[in-house]
Amino acid sequence: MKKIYETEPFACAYLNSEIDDAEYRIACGMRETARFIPLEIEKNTFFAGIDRTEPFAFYYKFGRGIFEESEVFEQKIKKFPYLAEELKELYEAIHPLNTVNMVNDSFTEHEKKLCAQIPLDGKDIKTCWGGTWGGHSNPDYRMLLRLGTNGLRERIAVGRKMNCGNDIFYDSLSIALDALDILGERAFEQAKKCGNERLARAFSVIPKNSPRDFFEACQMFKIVFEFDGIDSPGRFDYFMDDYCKTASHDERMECLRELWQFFKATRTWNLCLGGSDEKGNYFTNPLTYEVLEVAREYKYDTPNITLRVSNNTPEDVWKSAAQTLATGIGMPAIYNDECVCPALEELGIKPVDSHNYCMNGCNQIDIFGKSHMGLEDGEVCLAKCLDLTLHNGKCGLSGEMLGIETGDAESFESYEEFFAAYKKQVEYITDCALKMSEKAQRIYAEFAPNPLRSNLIIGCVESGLDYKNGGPVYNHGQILTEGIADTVDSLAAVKHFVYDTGKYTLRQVIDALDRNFVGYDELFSDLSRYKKFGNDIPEVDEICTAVIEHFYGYLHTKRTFRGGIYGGGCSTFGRAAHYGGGTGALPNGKKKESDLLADSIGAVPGCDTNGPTALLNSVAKEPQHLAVSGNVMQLKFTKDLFKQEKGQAGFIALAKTYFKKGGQQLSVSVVSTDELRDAQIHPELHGDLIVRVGGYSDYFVRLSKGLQNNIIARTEIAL
Amino acid sequence: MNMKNDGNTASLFNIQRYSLHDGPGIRTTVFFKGCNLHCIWCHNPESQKSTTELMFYGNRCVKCGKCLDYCEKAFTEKCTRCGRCSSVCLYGAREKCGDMYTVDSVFAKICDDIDYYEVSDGGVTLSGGEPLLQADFVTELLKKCNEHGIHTAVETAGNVPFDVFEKIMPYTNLFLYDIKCIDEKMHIRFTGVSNSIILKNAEKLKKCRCDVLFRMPVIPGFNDGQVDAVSEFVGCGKLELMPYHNMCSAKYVALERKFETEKAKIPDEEYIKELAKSYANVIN
Repeated sequence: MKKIYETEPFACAYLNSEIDDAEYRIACGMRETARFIPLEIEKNTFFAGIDRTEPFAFYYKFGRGIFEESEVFEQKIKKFPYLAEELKELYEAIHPLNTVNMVNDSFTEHEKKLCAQIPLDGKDIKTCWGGTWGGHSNPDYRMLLRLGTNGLRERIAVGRKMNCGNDIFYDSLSIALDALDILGERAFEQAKKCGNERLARAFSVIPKNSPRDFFEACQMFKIVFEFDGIDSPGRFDYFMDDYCKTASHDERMECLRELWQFFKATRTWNLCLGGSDEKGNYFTNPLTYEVLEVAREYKYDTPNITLRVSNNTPEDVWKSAAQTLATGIGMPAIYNDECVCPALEELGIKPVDSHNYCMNGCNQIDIFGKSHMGLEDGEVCLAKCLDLTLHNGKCGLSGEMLGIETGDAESFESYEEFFAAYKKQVEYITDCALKMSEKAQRIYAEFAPNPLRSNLIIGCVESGLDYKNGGPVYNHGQILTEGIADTVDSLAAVKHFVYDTGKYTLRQVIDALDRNFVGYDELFSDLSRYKKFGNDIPEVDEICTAVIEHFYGYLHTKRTFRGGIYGGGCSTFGRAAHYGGGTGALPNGKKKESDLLADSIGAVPGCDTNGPTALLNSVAKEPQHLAVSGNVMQLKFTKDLFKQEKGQAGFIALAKTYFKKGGQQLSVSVVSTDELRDAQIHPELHGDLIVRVGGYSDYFVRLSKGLQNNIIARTEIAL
Repeated sequence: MNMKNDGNTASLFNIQRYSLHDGPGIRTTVFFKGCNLHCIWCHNPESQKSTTELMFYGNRCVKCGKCLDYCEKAFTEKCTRCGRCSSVCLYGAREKCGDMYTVDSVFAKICDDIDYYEVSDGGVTLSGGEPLLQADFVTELLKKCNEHGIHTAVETAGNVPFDVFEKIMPYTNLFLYDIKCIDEKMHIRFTGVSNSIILKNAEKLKKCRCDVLFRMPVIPGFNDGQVDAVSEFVGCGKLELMPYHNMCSAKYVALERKFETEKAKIPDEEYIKELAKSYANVIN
């Protein structure tokens, strides 16, 4: 018969801790988890892993903190009736500690209305959102591999001497390392017992000591990565470089293929390739190509691969990336060091560190092994802020007062006054999102610290602070935005028809919006067919610059409690459709029922009619150096074009030119629109069709209808 | 509108950016309106007439009647398809195809993508219609591009006096020279004109020291029997086969014209690849 502490080790150890300290309790929970979590090792197992067939009802996860899985809890009560009482006691004790609930409970009614936790007039309307997520980060796996847990303990010893009186923190970190050692010892015993000599040999050394070859390095990375809770592998080719030469191409491919199955099974986040150093030298090794090759081979939607490029990226790397994109998996996303690194340096990040950036989660920018960049702190829908401006602070769909009073339609004498009102709304809503985000961040720091990551992210041991409490070297924040182009197009139309030509009054425009353009055919035709962002039209692009400069610039004046600056980005994931539905009619011709909002920094889907060079020219004019959290730019190519060498070369030249002009990022979907339409009708036939959503790749048939339509509407680059 | 070409303005129907198939690299293709061939498979039917014309998209029409208020000839046989009614249509059902452009305005548009040409070794391609029917404008535009170091290509069907070629040659880096077929009768039947000038000009062009890529549209059931003859004619030059497609059907509908080769077979990639293998001078 199982004991309660065997089936729920985390909760038991957490509650029974001798010391009443969240970090210490969580460390004890981790150590006890390592003792009892079932391991997957049989005679022919390639890499040892964690067996998750019988999940815990209570545990700790890097992004969510402490929480309970209600379903698992119910199942366990049925499975172990003799433990029912004890399980219920655990539930009573752990439930109040659920970090996500704590965050949600901390929101005011107004905040709940802003983030759609409370429906407005029965509708799902979202204006902004603030930090109910504990943050992605990239642990420094290179340090882990080089030092082993023995070396990490030496760091703790030094930190303890430097920060006297902080013993509980360092004890916690040490206990978290015990967890890794226990895992290693158990894996060694289990491997020996079942006759898996290769794994036994590996675990006789790791994780206490440095691995000796590529296989052992992969194994050490995998077991720690898995135990830590599956986040982003980060700069994989870079941190594996020490070991690249210890194996042949075939041996490395064998390991990568195994890892790939693991990444797919666990929905692993971002894996980053390449990158330049601060002297401009481009880093690449055979693994860069091999990862791209494995991605082509399996065509999985995960991990989310990023390729960093610079002026010195070899042509072969570009070609390999284009070949992988041609498979249609939407990866790799390509980031431009020449734009990202200087942007990070403006935040005060040292050049040596700015050049060590990689991606987190979808594609937010992070410093490898040295930061907590607040991923994800919050979002602000700019298009919704414009809706509030047009209705003097009220929601155009529900009539609910969400913003602040910035004036009636009649009160604006000029476009400048109208734009100033819009800016006030944006600032107010941004402040709301930041307040929510700060509440969340403080709750995570206090109730859900992470002693394991504090070991693996530089700065925590040195400062004696947890990774969620300002410990890392860099502690910036991140607010993403939605609907940039919709806002720009709407402002351009209002400027032209209301203030420049005077064809309509602002009141007429608002009346038309409120009636969803019914009975306003001429006004609708004028507004919806007016010049759109993404077509290389200077007067519209200038408005975009003003919108971005204002929003990102405003964020840069705000500080995180963890000791950093807020940065902005545009990476809308699957949420563009959610915000779109709650935004209502807009002066760019968007109707109430339309889910469509710009899903990247580019044009509103379908509004870029002058081809990709015009689109990228428009986007490159944006002050992209202000977008320190990732500025996703979506392009959609047809399969026919991309399978030709000419099409791939055309893409590479397009990307290089965009980057030369200051562009930060490109995400590419290679699809056929007919196939997408057919997949909407016959999802069962297109289960494997992958598309690029805002920040990541996903199976098309899994997406909501609104999002599917959004992707179909993206202008396709054909020829 | 004065459609007469006075050298400094030209009738165009499109300026297509990010062209990858009309010469090397990323290019901007300038499409001239007006052609002296009328190929039955023409994939740019709106390029044939030199004047502005109406494209009507019936599926967008809500029958509001605004066009009838504007012009009593709308929807009648008297309609000259001048396209002016497009200015009153709120629904995009009536669109005007073709406009007059100055050399400077076209050049400015070309310059918008100059960075892309630089990175990709691309440039500008003049196409149509038949650009060489507006030779003065073409010369000026090419000259200007040439002065600014922009690679230039001219796509032509070649049915113009050879002195036009001589005039533009100094500023043209590449000719994309279309040959539909060698058989003269067939040429008259499919394009409405003889190919004798076209072939003579091609011979002369081959002897000049300029870069020429011959291109042949392959329309199964129509001219595909002529690949042999065209390849032989091209000789030691280079030939590219252009597989027929019918993506232009909607344009024929909008022009309310019949598309004679609509039902022709669309050659698949394998067919073209196999065909290409049989000829040393085919570059596909």
